[in-house]
Amino acid sequence: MKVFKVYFKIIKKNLPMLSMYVGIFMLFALLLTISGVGGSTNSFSETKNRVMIINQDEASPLTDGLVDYLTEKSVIVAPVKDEKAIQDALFYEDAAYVLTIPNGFSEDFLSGTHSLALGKMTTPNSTAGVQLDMLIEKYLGEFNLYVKAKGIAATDVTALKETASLVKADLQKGTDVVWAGSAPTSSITKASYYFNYLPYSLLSIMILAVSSIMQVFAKGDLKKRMLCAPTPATRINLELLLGNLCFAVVVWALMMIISLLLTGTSITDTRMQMMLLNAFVFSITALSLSFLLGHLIKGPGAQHSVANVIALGTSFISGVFVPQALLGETVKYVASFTPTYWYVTAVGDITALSSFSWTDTKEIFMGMLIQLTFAAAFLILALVIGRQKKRKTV
Amino acid sequence: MFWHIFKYRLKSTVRDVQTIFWTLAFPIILVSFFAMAFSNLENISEYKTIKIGLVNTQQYQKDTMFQSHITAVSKDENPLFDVTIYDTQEAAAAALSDKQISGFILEDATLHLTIRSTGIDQTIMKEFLDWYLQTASSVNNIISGNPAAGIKLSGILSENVTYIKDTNTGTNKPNNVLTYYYALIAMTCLYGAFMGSKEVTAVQANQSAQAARLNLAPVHKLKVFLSSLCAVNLIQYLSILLLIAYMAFVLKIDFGNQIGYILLASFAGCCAGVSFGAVVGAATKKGEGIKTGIIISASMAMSFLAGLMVAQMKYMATKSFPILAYINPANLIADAFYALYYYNTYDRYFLNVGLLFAFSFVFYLIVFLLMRGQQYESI
Amino acid sequence: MTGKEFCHFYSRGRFFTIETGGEYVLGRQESARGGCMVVKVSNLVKRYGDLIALDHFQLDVEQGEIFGLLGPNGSGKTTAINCILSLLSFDKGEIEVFGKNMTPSSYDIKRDIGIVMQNVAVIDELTVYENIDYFCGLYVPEKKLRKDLVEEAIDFVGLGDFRKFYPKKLSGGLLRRLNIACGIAHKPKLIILDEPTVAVDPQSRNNILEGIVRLNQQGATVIYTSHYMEEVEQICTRIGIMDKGRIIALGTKEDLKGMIRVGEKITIEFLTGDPQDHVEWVQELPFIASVTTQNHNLLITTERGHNGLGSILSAVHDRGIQVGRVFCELPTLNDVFLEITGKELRDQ
Repeated sequence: MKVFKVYFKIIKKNLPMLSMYVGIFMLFALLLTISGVGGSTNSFSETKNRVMIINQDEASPLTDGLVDYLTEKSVIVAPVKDEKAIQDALFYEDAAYVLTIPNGFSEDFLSGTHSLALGKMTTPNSTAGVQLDMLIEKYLGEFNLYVKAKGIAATDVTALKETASLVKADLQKGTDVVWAGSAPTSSITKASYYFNYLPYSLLSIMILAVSSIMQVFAKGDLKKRMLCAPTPATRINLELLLGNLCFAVVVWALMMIISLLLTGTSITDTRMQMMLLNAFVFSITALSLSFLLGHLIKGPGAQHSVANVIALGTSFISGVFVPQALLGETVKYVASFTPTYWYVTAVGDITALSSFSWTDTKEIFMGMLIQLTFAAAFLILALVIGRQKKRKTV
Repeated sequence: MFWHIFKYRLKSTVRDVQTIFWTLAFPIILVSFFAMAFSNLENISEYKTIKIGLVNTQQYQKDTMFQSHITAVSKDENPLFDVTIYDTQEAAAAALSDKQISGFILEDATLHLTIRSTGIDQTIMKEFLDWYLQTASSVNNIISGNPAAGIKLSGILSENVTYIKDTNTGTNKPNNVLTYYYALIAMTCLYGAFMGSKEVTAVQANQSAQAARLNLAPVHKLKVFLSSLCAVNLIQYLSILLLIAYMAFVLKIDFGNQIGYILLASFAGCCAGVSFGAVVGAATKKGEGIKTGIIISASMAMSFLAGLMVAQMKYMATKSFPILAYINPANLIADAFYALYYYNTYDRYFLNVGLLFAFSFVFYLIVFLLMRGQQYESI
Repeated sequence: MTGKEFCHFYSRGRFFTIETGGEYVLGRQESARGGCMVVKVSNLVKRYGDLIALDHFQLDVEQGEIFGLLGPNGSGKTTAINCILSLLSFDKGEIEVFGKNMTPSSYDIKRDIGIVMQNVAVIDELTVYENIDYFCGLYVPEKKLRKDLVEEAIDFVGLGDFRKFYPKKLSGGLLRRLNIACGIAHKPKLIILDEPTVAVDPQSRNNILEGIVRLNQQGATVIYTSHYMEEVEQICTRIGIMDKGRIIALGTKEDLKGMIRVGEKITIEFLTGDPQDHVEWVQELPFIASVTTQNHNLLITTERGHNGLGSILSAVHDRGIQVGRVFCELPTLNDVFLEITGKELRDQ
């Protein structure tokens, strides 16, 4: 077990560098989770967007009602005067949506001509834009319905005020949502964010750490020395693998402890258990991939580039940062050739689980199995290449 | 002397094929992945038909208004819903378990939507039903007051009124996706740090044998260092320009049209990255490992805070620590490009570019102070 | 004009001064001897924490010499060299090169120094030709002149067939030759070589040693450090033996060997009988320093200046003793070192 022991000596020697990697990438996952951004669109909790309202119209129950409604549904940002300041606000995302109510809007609206429109400035195709558009159109649509159907005059303030309150009441109505099975708790939702971001961190740490360590074994003289020893190449490779495995398990355990502390989920929660299992399977897969890359990467110059491309690149196309629901079909097809894709799908499925029957969990376990298949493939390839290399070049 | 050293450092860097290949290739590969991930964002409006179930309760059979609403969205080409009617709740529930439908509607006293999981489909179902309930409520209010008004309702509801108009007059609209791309350029600039660090090792006699030889030559090592810096900066600059060209022409990402400014910003970013690496190289002892570790960790951290992985991180980071916008080189680079694209004026742009050059200057100053001594305690 | 100033006058080592009765005379170089001090180190002290690496180290190297600095690993040879070159800071002492105080920015001095270090200091991504050209270019900015110098250097070390090779493709010996070429291409007046033959094949080693002698004949002063006494004995005109940071013995080969008691070492192999029986009577012979036994052999050392071999053999013949092989060795520098320090030059 000499190689195995040497492996740990090398880890010990490189501890500062390895701790840096582990620390930084875990920090990323942590910060992303805490901030509660990105991730999936998997919850019914309404996000409050930041809205700036510039009201150039005179006071009227219509505009008052609209502003009132928007205030309830969003975070209102203080309006600013000049155009530059508005551009700044959008640039720095102080406001995700800037609504301008032009002068004479109410009058025009209530008269039925609808020649004036509200002005908006927002990021195209953003969720904020879509959501705010919908809120405003709903409100105005309802108001319009009342006004036209009842034939309310623009000057009839009392009737307008009544309309405003009626519209408000109407918009409170919501469908009763019934869960078949158990609704997801908020801690599981938070955990789902964390586990969703995990692949990037895990892959980065594993590839960087493993390839650094493997580099040491690949250096000319040490390699020659090991080749001359009466230990078969496969045995050496396996001992290296064992060392790597221990490292992977430690990293996984660390990340799991953090997940439990961070999200406050209990380890007895079945969903959480499945998340942990899924993460473990992915760690193993990440490890085999790193092991394979460790054999292939030849030099520190390449190491960080490869780690970055694989970790960040596959994460992007697999749904870690851009939700899977927003990815195109071809992209998902390509991504399905990476284990990350299956991991992320499994995370989504686990979060959505409401009961734990076989039919429900079947797909999740299939996803894990696919990941393990990747792991096996990487491993076999690594062992084969390891042997070839040792024979070809010394 | 300058050209002599410049020429040879250039040759030596370029011939390190592994490093050069990855310096050029990795940002291009990565940005292609990004492009793939974002390719579908423009098509958000297209949706797949949602399979939904409906329980044939008595109330439903009586509710013609609801029926017409459901029918309206489940007919024609590419409808919103594909409705299956079930006789009993149990049948619907079974279909839901089997994942034949994404959810089912049950109407008794009110509308209930039963789902198993959350997702875009379910969100859309809920929104649709909410909207229906809200409109129905308004309609009821109107009719209960004056039944005659009921006739006008369908007419009004089918009116197509545009309430909102886009008034964005800036050169270009704000664009979240660009944040990622610009952050990627920033990260690539920062990765120039590896080259900067390598050049320091090449002149610090206590870090390499070649450097010791250099120190014994009748040339001040800082002169050698400056000449080699020029060579390295050139290569790094070219790689960034290559990346931007690829992004602009192949991926069709918008940078605005101001080529000169783009070139300047790239150069500023490049200087910042290389100088940062030089500081790391000069401040740490011999040994590749630690230097690589610091450079990777630092550049990823800075890029992270500039929104590389999740665009909103940038916003949150600068909201929590406003000073970050000015001291995070990745942020400065990304924002310089974004300001160029978004604004009509150049204040923001020049501020950022200026700060980047200032950073480079400070970094090089630190390196100069650290490397000034020509004798070493130990070699 | 003082002698020192004349030293500065020489170009490519063609002139030197001979001190004759207080007057200085210009003379053509015939032998590589002169009276000009190229390197003068006084009282050099260098500490690493509690460890004293150089302990009042003294060194005087005259122009035209091949000065050998011999000592076991860890004696401070490389440290001394690095201090002389102003690469390493030191705690006390003065260092003068070419009569001027040596500092890190003494570029005029550095221009005339060539270094061949223990660690091969070449750039992996440049070819043999380019490496030599690069480093020579730091000393010789003129392109035309440099081109000739580089060609000469390549010829000198015999790398003509390898000029387009990259360092990774060269064997250990060839790599060392490249290392040397990079160090001497600019025709320096002082060449310092720090253990240049470590891990080098015998052919290359001879090549290197011959090369150094040739360089010296062309007018360069050489300081050569090593722990291989055979090499030092072979080419050095003057030798300093170093241990624990100071010079413990200084002089020519003969001077040094003259310092010790031991004259010759004779080994006689006895085919029959126990050599122990013969110890007593051998010791009675004249000029015998010591007699010991080892297996079947008798190890005899004679006193300095006396050849005992003839008398011992005739004594053995007279007694009719059957002997096998007989070895006779002259004292080596290792013996000098052993006697002074009680240790061997090479690590056990």
